[in-house]
Order: sequence, then structure tokens, then C-alpha cells
Amino acid sequence: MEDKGQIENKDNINGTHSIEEHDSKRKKTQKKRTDSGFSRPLRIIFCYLVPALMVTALIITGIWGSRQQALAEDYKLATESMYRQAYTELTDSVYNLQIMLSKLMVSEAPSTLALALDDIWRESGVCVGLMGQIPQSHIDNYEMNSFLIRLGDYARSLSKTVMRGKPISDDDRKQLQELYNASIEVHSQLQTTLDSGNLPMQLLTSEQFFTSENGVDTYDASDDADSRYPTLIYDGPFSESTEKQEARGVTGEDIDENTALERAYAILGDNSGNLTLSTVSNGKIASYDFDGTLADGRHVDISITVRGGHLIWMMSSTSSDIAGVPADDEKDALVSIGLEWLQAQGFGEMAPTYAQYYSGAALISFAAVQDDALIYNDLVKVWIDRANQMIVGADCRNYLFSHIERDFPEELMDEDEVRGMLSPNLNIMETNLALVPATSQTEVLCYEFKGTFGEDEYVVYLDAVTGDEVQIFRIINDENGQLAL
Amino acid sequence: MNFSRLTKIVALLMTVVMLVIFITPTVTSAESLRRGSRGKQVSTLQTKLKRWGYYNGSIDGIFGSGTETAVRKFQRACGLTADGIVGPKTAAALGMSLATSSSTSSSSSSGDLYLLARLVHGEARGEPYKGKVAVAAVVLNRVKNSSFPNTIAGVIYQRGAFDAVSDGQINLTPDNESIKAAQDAMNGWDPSNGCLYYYNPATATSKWMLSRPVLLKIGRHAFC
Repeated sequence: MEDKGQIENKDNINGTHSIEEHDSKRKKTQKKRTDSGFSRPLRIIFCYLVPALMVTALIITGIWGSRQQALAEDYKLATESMYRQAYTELTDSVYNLQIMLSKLMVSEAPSTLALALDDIWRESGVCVGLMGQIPQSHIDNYEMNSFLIRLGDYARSLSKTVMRGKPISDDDRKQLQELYNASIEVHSQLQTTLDSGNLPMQLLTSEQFFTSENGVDTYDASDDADSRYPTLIYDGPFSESTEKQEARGVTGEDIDENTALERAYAILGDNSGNLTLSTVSNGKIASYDFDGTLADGRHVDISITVRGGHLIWMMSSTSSDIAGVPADDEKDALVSIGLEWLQAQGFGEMAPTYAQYYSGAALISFAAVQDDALIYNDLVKVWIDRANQMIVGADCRNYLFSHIERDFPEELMDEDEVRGMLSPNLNIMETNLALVPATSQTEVLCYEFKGTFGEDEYVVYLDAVTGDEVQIFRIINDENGQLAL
Repeated sequence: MNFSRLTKIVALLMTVVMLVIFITPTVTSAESLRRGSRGKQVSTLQTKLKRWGYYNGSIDGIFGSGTETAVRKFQRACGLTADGIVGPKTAAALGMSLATSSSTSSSSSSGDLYLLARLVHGEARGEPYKGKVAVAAVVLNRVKNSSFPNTIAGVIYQRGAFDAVSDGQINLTPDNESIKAAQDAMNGWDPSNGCLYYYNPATATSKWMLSRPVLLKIGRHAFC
């Protein structure tokens, strides 16, 4: 019994065992199925469809990629063609300059000289435009750019001399000869590069803009002085002497940061809040730049010169967005607010010139006045908040660069006599005496005639000593105010 | 087992990649001319298509089936997707602008100012206001300097001169602050104090740039 039972038991055990075995077998087969896919459809998907899809995707991506590649190639070719065009045109234009300069060597008549000089000025403009298009590092091309700009600028100033009936001096003849030699050099360089076919093409990013292809990789201030091109002595907007001009209105002793801060608080007056030094600026005019918040919570930036503690600029924000040209009485009120502030800051006699109205502010340019003549170079710009009539900005840079006591000529022509020399087309509304810039570094005392011709407004300047026409401006009235062009 | 799972992942990735590739260029701008469109721009479109020999119908300013067929023909000839809809690409190929007149007038009203504002927006977003004006002032200082082109557009588009031009950020629409900064700079405010260069010391690598004496710092930019 016991045995039987045992056997039964054993059987039982065996039975359970076999069931377990069966179970695990089933599980195994199940597992096997999961391995190769649950069912036939899934197997089809994984064995055929997915690879097929992958191949299709690969082919499509391939086609797409080669299309993109072709497109990129097209763009590359198009850009390169533009670069090549610019380079070739530049080479041609420099050759033209060379020919024009050579003709100057043998020309003497003022009319031919003036025409030839004007042609050089125009051709140099073309060259400078093309220089900006060739993909060459700034370090490699800035000297040539400078040479081409100054060549035109110089020709322009010389042409004015010739047209005023003055002969070309020996010094100028010598400079023209040097320019001619330099132009031959520049042209041969360009032509060699063009012939070799190795145009600079790589320049795409700003990093490359400052990376020389000739191995120069650090800045050396002495490089500026020792140029491969002739140094020109003349008076024009791009001449070396103009670019290196000192701020002659900045006078006095050097002050320290605290004194400058006191000056800044004094300029801001009752409204000054809390200022801190933001940067010591070693630019053209060394200055302490402060920033902070005004008593009314607005942000303000203010810059005081190290030498003499003069205000260079201050700028805050307006409290409204009022735009458009105001009515005459508001204009007058704004002008007197500006004048009052200028007097409080210790500027001498000043008079309003032009005004712009934008972003809630009136920007009025005031010119210094000496012996009843407006001095247009000595400008101070004042921004006035139109909503609350507060001074929100000022810019004295022009004034600081040029303000000194001027010597005026003694003998002036009579105003009526000069008036007779004006174009009969001009209907004169107002006359003033004004000192206007004749070149970048010289000024000439003029009678300023404001008038109209038809609907348009003009300002004509005639030399107060000789009666020559010096300058004509057309006044453009737009939605922001007046501009003189 | 590994193979099939890998296949699955790869297939999924492929699908995503393909979707990205094929969907991106087909996103059409709201500004487009299609069947049913009417107006002056449709007339312009018809005139152009007629002049080039793609369209024979009348110029009535109504985008009908004839116009659609002509657009398809034109698109096929230019290698564009021939969907019969004049989107930005087709419009560009046709040489016409789809922008409404109000938006173009504001952007072209004062060309140089707006260009300068776009550069400021692309170069100095996130800088303090003074830093934005300084960037605009550097452009204007370059215009006045003999080492650089002598127009605003010349300076801005000089090859490689500005990151924002190289990476296309200059084409973003400037905010009001950038426009005001450009305006303040054009009116004479120069916080850069006559500088011709600036760079971000954290990202600049040009040795030439880094070896220049820094004259002042505003925000993240060093000016020299």
C-alpha cells in the first residue's frame, strides 16, 4: 500500500513534473515565437517590409542628397562667378585708373585736368564698391581699400582746386606721379592673381575676415604707419589727417573718476539718481562712462571726458512714443527748453538749426554762434522728451571736436551785393551769416540764404568775402522733421 | 533578436528623418496665390506668365483653372514642385513679391536705417541698449574710414565682415529697440567712441582681433 501509494505519489510527482515540463516546454516554444516574431504577419513585416522600406528610404535619401549636392554646387558656382566678375572688373577699373593718371602727367589745361580728376574720383568709387565684394580678408585688403578711397578723395579735392582757377602745385604733381607708380603696381598684382586663377574664395565667416592668407596673424600698430602705398597729403574726408584729427574743443586738466562722477551728477541736476562707472573708454576722446538710474526710475548713460570733464553724451529714455512734426508753438517751446539747458551747462551763445522728431523725443541741433555767425561744425544735439519737456539726451561730440575761437575775415561784402549774385529762381525767406565747412579741415564764412524754388526749400551759401557759391542744400521735410541734403 | 530590434530602431529613425526631410520644405507660407485667389497680384502673375508664353487666357485677376495649368507648366520648367500654387519659391522664380503692400512700405521707407536696424538686431540682440547703439556706430565709423567701403550697405555686406550677415540673422525682422538704436546712432550718438571693431571675447578666436588693444567694453562686446 505504502509502496503503491509511494508509486502513486511518485506518479503524482512524476505527473506534476511532466506538467511542469510541458509548461516550460510551452513557454520555451512561446519564447521561441517571440524571438522570431509573434506570428506570420509580423515576421513578414520584419523580414521583408522593413528592409524594403529601409532600402527605399536609403534610395530616396540618396536622391535627395545628390539633388541637394547639385543645388549646393550650383550656388557655389553662382557665388564664385560673382566673385570672379568682381575681381575681373576691379582689375579693369584699376587699369583705367592707371591710364587716367598717366594722362594727367601730360595735361596742363584746367578744363581737361578738372574732367580727368573727376573721372578718377568716379572710377575710384567703382573700385571701392568692388573691393567690398571680393572675398578677401580685411587684413589683406584694407591698405589697398584705403589707397583706392584716398586716390579718389584726393582727385576730388584737387579738382576743386583746379576749378577755383588755381594751378596744380609741384607737390601735387609729385604726389600724382607717386600715385601713378602705385597704380601700376596694384594693377600688376591684381592681374597676376587673376591670371593664375587662384582668386581668394574661401572667405565666408567673420573669423576668416580677420585671418590673413599671407601669414599675418597678429595686429601690430606700427603696420599702420608703414604702408606699401604712398602717403598723400591733402584735405578731404578720408585723408589721414582728417581720420587722425584730435578733439580740439577738449581742453583743461585731466580729472579723476570721482570728479567726473560729480560732473555727471551736476549735469543731471535735480533728477540725478544713482550712477556707477560702467567703463573707462579709451576711444577717440578718453572718457569715463557712467550708467545708472535717474530719480524717476529711468535708465541713463552719461560720458564725461577725462580731460577737462566735458560732457560728451548722455542718453536716457523718453516716456512716450509721440511722433510727427509738432505745431509751431510747441516747436518754439522745445527750442527754448533746449537753449535754457545749454546755458545752464555753460555753453556760450547757441542757436537752433534743424530738428527731428521721433520715438517721443524732439532732437534739436544747436550750433555755436560767434559774432552773429552760426558755426555749423560746433553742433550740440539735444533730445527733449515731448511728453514732459525733460532733457533726455545730448551729444556734444561735434562741438568737442571743432570748437575754438575763430578768426573771421575783416572785410566782408555787403549782404545786398551778394544777394544780387544768387540765382533769380530762388525766392529768399531768410538770411544769416554762417561759418560752414568748405573741406574737412577748413571753414569759410558765408551768407546763408534760405529760400524756395517752387514747392522745394533750399539753403544756398555764398562766400561772404568773394561771393562765390560754396554749398547748396536741399531741405527735405519728412514725417520726422527736416533734413538737409 | 538583436538584428530585428536594430531593424526596428533603424526603421523608426529613418521614418523620422524622412518625415523631417520631406515635410520641412513643403510647409507653405500663409502668403500664397492659389486657385480662387483674386486681385492685383493675380493680374501681375497672369501678365508675367503670358509674357513668357505659359498662359493664353485673359488677364482678369482671377486665379482659375487656366492660370493654374500655366503655373504648373512654369513650375515644371523651373524644376519646382508642380502644385499649381504660387508660394514663396514660385514667386521668387517669377520675380514677384507676395508680401502685402503695407509690410513692404514700412521696410523700404528708409532703406539704410532699416538695414542698420536689421544688423543691430542680428548682431546685438540681448545686449544693453548702449551696446546696440555702439554696434550701429561702429558701422557708421567704418563708412567714414578709408579702410572700409564707403556706404552703409557696402560696410554691412562686405564679405565676412559680420556674423549676422554670414549666418542670415540679418534677415530677421528688427524690434523697435534695434530701430531706435540705429536711429540714435545715425543722429550722432557714438558710445563706441570712434571704434572700428568689436568682438565677443568669449567666442572670438582670431589672433589679429585678440591682439588689438581693447579700448572699452559694453555688455559682452569688446570694442577696439
